[in-house]
Amino acid sequence: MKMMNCPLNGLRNISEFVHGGEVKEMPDPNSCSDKEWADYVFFSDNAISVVTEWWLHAPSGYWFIAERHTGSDEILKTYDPSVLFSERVEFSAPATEVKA
Amino acid sequence: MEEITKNIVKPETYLARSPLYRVHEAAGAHFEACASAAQVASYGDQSEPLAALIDLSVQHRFGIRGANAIAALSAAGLSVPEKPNQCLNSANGETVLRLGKTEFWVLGAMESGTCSADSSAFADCYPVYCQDSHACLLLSGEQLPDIMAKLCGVDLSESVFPKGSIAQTSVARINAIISHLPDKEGTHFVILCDSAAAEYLWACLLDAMDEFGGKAAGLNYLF
Amino acid sequence: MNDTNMRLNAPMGLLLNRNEQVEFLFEGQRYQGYAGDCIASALLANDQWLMSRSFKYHRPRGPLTMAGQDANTLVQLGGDPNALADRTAIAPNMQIEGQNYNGTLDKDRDAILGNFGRFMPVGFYYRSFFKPMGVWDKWEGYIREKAGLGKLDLNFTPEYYDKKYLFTDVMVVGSGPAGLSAALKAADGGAKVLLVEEMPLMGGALAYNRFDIEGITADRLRAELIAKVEEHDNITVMVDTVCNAWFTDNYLPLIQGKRLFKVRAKECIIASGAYEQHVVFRNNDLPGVVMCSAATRMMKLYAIKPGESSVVLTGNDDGYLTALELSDQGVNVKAVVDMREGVATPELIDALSERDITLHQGYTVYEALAEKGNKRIKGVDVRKITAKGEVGNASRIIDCDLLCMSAGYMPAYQLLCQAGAQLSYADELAEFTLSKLPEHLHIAGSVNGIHQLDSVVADGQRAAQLALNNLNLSDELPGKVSCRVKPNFDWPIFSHPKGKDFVDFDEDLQAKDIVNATRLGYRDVQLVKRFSTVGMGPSQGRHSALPTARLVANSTDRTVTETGVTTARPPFAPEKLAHIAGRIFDPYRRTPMHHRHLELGAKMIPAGNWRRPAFYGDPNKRDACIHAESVHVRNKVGLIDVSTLGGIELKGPDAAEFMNRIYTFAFLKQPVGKTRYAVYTNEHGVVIDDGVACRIAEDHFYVTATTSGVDRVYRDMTKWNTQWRLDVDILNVTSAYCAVNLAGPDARKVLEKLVTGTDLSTEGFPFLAYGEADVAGIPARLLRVGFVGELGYEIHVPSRYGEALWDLLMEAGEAFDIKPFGVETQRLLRLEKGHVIVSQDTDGMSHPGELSMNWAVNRKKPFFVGCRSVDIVMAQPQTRKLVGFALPAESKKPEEGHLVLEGDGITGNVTSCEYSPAMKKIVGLAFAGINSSEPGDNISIRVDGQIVEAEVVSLPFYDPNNARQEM
Repeated sequence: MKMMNCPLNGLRNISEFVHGGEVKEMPDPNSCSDKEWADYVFFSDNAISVVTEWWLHAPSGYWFIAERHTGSDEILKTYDPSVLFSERVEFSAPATEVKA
Repeated sequence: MEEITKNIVKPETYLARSPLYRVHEAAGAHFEACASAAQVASYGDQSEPLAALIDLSVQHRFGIRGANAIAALSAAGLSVPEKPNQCLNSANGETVLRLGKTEFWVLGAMESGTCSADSSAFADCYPVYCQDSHACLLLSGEQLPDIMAKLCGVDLSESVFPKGSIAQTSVARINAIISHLPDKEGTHFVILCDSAAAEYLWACLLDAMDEFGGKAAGLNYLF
Repeated sequence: MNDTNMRLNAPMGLLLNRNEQVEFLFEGQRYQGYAGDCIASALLANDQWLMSRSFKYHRPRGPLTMAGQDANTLVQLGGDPNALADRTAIAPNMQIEGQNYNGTLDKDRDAILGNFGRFMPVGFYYRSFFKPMGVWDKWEGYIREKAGLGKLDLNFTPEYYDKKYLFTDVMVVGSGPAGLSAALKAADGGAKVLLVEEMPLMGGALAYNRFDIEGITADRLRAELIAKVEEHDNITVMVDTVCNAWFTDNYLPLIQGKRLFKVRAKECIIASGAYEQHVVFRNNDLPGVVMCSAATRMMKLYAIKPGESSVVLTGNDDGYLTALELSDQGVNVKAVVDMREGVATPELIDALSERDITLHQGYTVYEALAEKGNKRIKGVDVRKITAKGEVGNASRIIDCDLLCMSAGYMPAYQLLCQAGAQLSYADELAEFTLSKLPEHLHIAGSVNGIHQLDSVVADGQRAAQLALNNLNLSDELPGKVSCRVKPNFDWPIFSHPKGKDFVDFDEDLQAKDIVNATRLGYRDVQLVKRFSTVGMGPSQGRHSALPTARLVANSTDRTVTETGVTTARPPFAPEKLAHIAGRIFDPYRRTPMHHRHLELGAKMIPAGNWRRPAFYGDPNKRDACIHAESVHVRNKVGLIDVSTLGGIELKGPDAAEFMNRIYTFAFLKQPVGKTRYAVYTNEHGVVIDDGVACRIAEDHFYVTATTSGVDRVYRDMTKWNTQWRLDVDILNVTSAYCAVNLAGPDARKVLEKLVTGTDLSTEGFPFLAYGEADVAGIPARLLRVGFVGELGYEIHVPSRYGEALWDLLMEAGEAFDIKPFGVETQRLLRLEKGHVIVSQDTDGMSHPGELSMNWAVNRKKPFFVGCRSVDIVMAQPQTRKLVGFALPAESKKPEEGHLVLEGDGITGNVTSCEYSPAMKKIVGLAFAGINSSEPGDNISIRVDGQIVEAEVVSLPFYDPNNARQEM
């Protein structure tokens, strides 16, 4: 069984973790086109490359980020999400009419 | 009910009960009053086992978290472990568990079963209701890392999991927090698990201990 | 029978305890052996060579390797089939049977199958029984009767198996000279070492092979290394333990007895050795034809004299040493037949001649001659090798009752190949070699193609040095190790026109079978395997892989490297399902009231990993119990344990903002002391959970979630806030709080008996109110809810008080005839009210519009998870809708999942359906096509093949004005 290094808890069996999908930037839901939104929700590049992913250490409820190569399945690094997300996110008011 | 002295008592006398009290009753355990509930004092009159499993669920504990937690603990005279996944004893016998950057659980002194405060005393912190969300089991005695290796994929041997260490991991397929108690003679692991799964984990631990001469016991095993 | 006279003297018999005799039964006859004997050695000591019959032709078979590497000696132990007789120790009164015969092992009626061999060519079954259509059905019974290995006892008693983790710095697989020296070097360097040995004793080849003419080196080196290993504090030794696989990051399962150890090793050194290979010639499977190492194992480990007169057939110098050992132990070695010419070490040739052992160089055994019934070898036909695989016509017959053979070695590559190592064939060495190991995995000794003893020891140390360097315990450069010995003979395959020249003993495959497979077009070795079944037997190609690769390469004009071997997959050796299952961990959760439910006679059902009462009473009278309970709630008062409901607490200045972003409704202005329905959609706009949000304070919400959905919702919440960075604390309080729903017209009267200081009147504590109260000393959260459609209070208390709360309510309710009700009754009651259960009445496509939940979606706020998807899907023409339908009580009752049809097309399905005692008709929810979703429309439901026409009715079915729940 594979192991992964949790930034909070250290090296653990992969069975202690829950995959949370790729880190993706959400387009502005109130101004993007339907296609942009559909791409965000449904599509993934699925390339053989390094991907940045969400992982949860289930026993401690701790979310973190892992960079993993999809070809070799090697986990290159893991780190606290505050590296990527440090500022409060606000959403703008919806446009009166959303155009596709 | 506070008046009840440390005599043999029945768990159902109290409003607060351990999720395991029926298991203890069925095995013929003797209870004593402790922290407004019935604490197992002894498990029949069997000879002293090599390793003991003791239910401390009725003993007091509380959790706090948030940006102010460290300052608040210090102000209350409680120890603050330096890093996450470490535990430290406080002067009054309470053990402080640091589970994250800003999350702390405080376990009452084992002999009295009580804490000097609870989370309501920490108004500028967020409470964690670990008294009710978690059962609290104590594993004490010989060969504890071997016992746990039958249930858990984290190496808990002394060299890599010394006194004062905490592992938040999976035990017998449920989440649990294992703390290697500091400043105590012998090896003592406190295992905190989902209170709803306490009966399940209790049975798993007893099964794992059996080959090492481990058995269920009460607080008298320690004092 | 007594065997004492047939044993060699000590120090032969390393494994035996001659002071302890053990009696056992084989084929019903009583035998004696010594403690430490395996079944095979104990039988050999009684001159019983026949132990089993072969799979296809039912040929008599005896020991081949004496090391559990072949399928020749599979026996049945009581209800346990396929035990390896040459690995399983005898035990007092053990009952052993041979396998694979019709009649008796000695007189097998199916032995005649061997005579029909030419009518059963390779691929016989595939090619013979598929035409004409249906013929397989006729043959299957007969073939199944003949096929299979051993017999299962279906009335077995389950035994206790379990698993345990082990943690180490370095694990060494194999305790031969390479493994022992690797373990010592690693341990001396400061690493914690686990040394694993498959056999009951350490030493590997040192324990049985002869490495020098005098026969002293092996014993001396073995004693020296073992003594050091045993006294080393850093080394843990496990014998009789098989490392059965390699998994990612050095996760290594070990099987020892009834326990599976899961090893986590930072570094792993594979010193698994090599398998001695057989020579392919006619009748090479007769009892009495053995590997050289099998003969030495018989002598050194078990003090068995393997025969009276022997011939040794070899392609290397090791055969010479075997001949010396046999001769020293009193076996008359009639000849050494060396397939090579002029290569042997001169000292060895001298040693043979000193003992008057005839040597034939450039010769081979062309055929082994059998006693009647093929039960034992009686001689060999020796011929000169004239070309690759060809022999001359001149024949020399030598009488013997033992033939020892060695064509060379095949590395025990399985674990390494599982780890991704590459296997390639070195033509000049006629040997497979391994390369491209992953990090933290090392190889040492004969598996690494190193055969000279001093080099093997050095190779173990070299591998350990690499491990130490990876562990940062050292930084020395590992030395280079090479080997000058070539133990493999290039082409030890001598096909015979009459066949029975076996490549694969497990599957009775002959040289021509492999060649024919390639002629039929199966050129890839993977296809050859699947067509011919070569390597599929219990020994998994340990002996057949090398000759198969050579034969396929030769007949397809490719190199052996190009041909390769088939993929090695776990497990390395057969393992029991019991080992994999171990002690089964099946977590369950119980509410604090669990034991009260049992005392009250609840029929418990699983709900996720919880157990919940379905209803109380006779489990065989489900409908009657549920109907009675539902009527009771409607008319009097009932109590249900709803502790399994999820609970999440949100606290902090941004609590309301966070709620507003997660759930579809508006929460910023939710008044303190009120509850509000909360719907959660995922980013696809699909409704995936719902609950009730209570505003405890401006900065404090308590929100429930479904039993099965809470973990997901909580994870999503924490993940979102990791990105949003709002000032809110999110806490899963599912187990911290337990809850009951006290429901029915008399609910208030019951609760008023226990609550002091809180006004519970309709005005003081109205429908949808939230409040905190003291319930007879228990601090409680009260929610006025209407899920079942009657006056009701959800009472949430810290779980330590759960059982006391239940007791207090049941006691206070006694005067009002309170009764507990189960989750099935609750489902009926909520169905009568038309309330949806997310995931029962919704599916992976249900958006709020389809569930008529538009009212619960606020689109004036800037954001909620899934808002944009909800906009997109709800802007499209709606195709279906969840509707209520009703049928007369006597109608055929639809079940969940039954289809709703419109003509031939499917428009939806039934999601819930029950007989409603309150309405006295059948009521249900179903997805209907949008054109037939209005009250008064009809929908067609297919119930067990029949169409039932149901009327769409408006919801709720019961108490449409909600007067009862708002009392």
